[in-house]
Amino acid sequence: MLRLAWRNLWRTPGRSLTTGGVVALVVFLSLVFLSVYAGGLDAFFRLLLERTGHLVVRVEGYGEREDLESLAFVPPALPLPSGARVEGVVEGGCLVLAGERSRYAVVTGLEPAGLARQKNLLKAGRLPEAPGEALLGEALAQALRVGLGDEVVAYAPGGLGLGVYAFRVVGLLDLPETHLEARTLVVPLADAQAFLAPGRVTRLEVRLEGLGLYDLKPLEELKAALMPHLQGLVAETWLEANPAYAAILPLYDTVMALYVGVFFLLGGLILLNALYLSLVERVREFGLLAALGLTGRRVMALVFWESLLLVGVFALVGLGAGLLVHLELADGFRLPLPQWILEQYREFGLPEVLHGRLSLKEVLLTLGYAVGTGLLAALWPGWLASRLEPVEAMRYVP
Amino acid sequence: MSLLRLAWRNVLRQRRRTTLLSLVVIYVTVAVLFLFGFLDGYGESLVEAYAEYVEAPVVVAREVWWQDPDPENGFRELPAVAHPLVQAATPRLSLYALLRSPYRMQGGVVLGVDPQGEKVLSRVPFRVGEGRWLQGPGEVVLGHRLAERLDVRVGERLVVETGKEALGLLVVGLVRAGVGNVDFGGVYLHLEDAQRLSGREIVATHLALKVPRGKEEGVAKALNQALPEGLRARGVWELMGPIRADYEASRLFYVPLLSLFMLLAAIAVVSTTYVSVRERLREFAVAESLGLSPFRLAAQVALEAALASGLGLLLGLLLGYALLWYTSTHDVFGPLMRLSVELLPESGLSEHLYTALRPVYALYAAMVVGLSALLALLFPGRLVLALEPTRYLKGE
Repeated sequence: MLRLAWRNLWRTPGRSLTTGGVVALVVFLSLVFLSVYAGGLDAFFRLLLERTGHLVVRVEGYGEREDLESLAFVPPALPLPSGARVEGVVEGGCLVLAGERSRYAVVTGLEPAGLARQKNLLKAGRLPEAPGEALLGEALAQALRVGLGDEVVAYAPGGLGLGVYAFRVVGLLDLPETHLEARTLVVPLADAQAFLAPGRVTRLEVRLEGLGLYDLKPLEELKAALMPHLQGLVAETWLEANPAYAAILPLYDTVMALYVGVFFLLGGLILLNALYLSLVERVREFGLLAALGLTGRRVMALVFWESLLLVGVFALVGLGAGLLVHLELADGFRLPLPQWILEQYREFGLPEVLHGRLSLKEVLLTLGYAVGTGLLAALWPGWLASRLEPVEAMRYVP
Repeated sequence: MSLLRLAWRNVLRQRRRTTLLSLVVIYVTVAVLFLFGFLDGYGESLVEAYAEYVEAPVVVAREVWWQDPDPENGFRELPAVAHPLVQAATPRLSLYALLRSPYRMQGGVVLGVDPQGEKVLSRVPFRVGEGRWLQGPGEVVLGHRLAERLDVRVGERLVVETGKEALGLLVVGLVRAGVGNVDFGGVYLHLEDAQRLSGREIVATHLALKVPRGKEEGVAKALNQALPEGLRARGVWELMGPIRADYEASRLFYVPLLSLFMLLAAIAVVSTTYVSVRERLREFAVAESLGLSPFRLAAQVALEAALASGLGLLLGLLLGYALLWYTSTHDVFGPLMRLSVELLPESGLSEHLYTALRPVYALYAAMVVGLSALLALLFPGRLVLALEPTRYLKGE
């Protein structure tokens, strides 16, 4: 039956190649599409993880509290496993003044490790090494008309700290998002505490070594282990700490399945058309086979085998091509868009160079769609073929 | 005409076959209509958000202010702007400030406006969900999400500081615009208060102009020819932030994709036509021996392909426009847009997106008919052109 189906496919090589080409193209496009989108999503979330750490510890109900006084807390000692480290961060709003100019900014106080992480964002100058030194977002520095070595005054009245603090600009940061860059003032933690909340932090960032991006299980375990030590505080995974972004993840699978479904529906309709044409051309032949004793079920199976072979072979071709392209994409790629668009996309936190990602789930999804399409497309032609009356079929004239 | 009738009859001879390939064309037609409707709807929602809420249809400012939007680069006196399509103009003064409620503090951009002038130009005054719009100095209107963040209500006071001046203003209204920038960051105060807060001798930072929808870029271009040196007008598309790139990128992605869809649909049509022609080669041989030229026969084949795909196109247009009508009158994408606004509150996205419904989409979708006819002429048509009537008439 299998051999017969294979032979039948190559009786009309033009049509089989065309239809198979469509199947291969659909599989190929689906894989490339999924690889690119997953790469984009990864880049987006990697940036988020980089900024928040794996676990974030804040005061309970921080979402309803916006004032620094209720957000700041004295950092407790946390029992962390080896390879994990905790960093305190103070963050608060202030007005930054420089000469005649002023801008609102978010001052972020970081420990030395946190400051060191800013090194790859450094556009000019160096990292703070002494009290009173600060990093400014390049856009903020431009707006304030200050450069390296200039002084800015941060002003945040009504807080727990001094409320006014002078900083010397020692470095300029280039962030992907200009709107954040225009509000960024990074200083040593001790300075930020003196300025905003002495001895306190607004969050603790726990970072772990060697964890995958979506490896949330160890984070949940660590969260549970830390819970007894967090009086009045709450620990959240980096995804929980960004609920709006976390909402994308479950949507992502649905949206991707729909997108791929759009491709396969078109492929399926074209396949159905080809199978029906193949049936029409061979009505007399099917009549003869039935007259020779081939049961309706076997005739139907023949049509199914033809469909599955066609889809299977060309899906593998599409899969091979798709995986080859994916390997290229995994090494890093730029979206084939004008430079100005890529630059604007950086404003949403999407880097210019992305890395494609395909998991087994996505490959199986695509192949599942292909097999499903092959089966569904063969249903009706197979049913028609199985119900042919031998005598009538052998007399059939198109 | 007889050729058309003949082609039509041939299309209807194989109804199942025609129905099947129509399905492919229907699907592609619906996809083309829907995606173009969605893209244009997205573009229109952005234009509306920026022209009516976030910015203005056209904005005139000093060249230096566009480079460095600090109050010191504002107007010391308002420029005269003359263009027949400019329906209204109102000055605005934007400032960077610290906002302090009795409980919380946040920063942002505050916009000094002429309350009456703003009513002519912007929809923000009509989207006050609680309280009222500005009437005079000493008042402030906030986006409702910003008010939540500041923990401030109508009737309470808000301190606005710029580093040069500070004012205690009464919150008189909260805006619910459904546009991220306004709801999350909108701070509107009287122009006189803004002038005082700027601490400089400026009357405004920019001039907002109302022009008819669709004429923004043209008016901006015309104004740039006539405005004094040092001034520059920008249309709404130029005023959009990075979100414009997303719209443009979507177009760049979907247009080739839809073209591919149409090509595949045309291939399906041609595949069916090919089988149909092969079945009827003898018929074509008879027609040729009766005097019909091979080229007319090939044209008939192309016409059959066009008619078959045309049937699908008509049904696809009916379905596609029905879908577009529904999505252009119902807030189907609301939940998705609201999530997007939460994610990107400063992008100028609107909480609602309705698809556009334009007759020109039918023309785009009709390309599949032309493509089918062309491919039919190239492939099954060639079979007819290469036909040897004598061979077929002998039944070989």
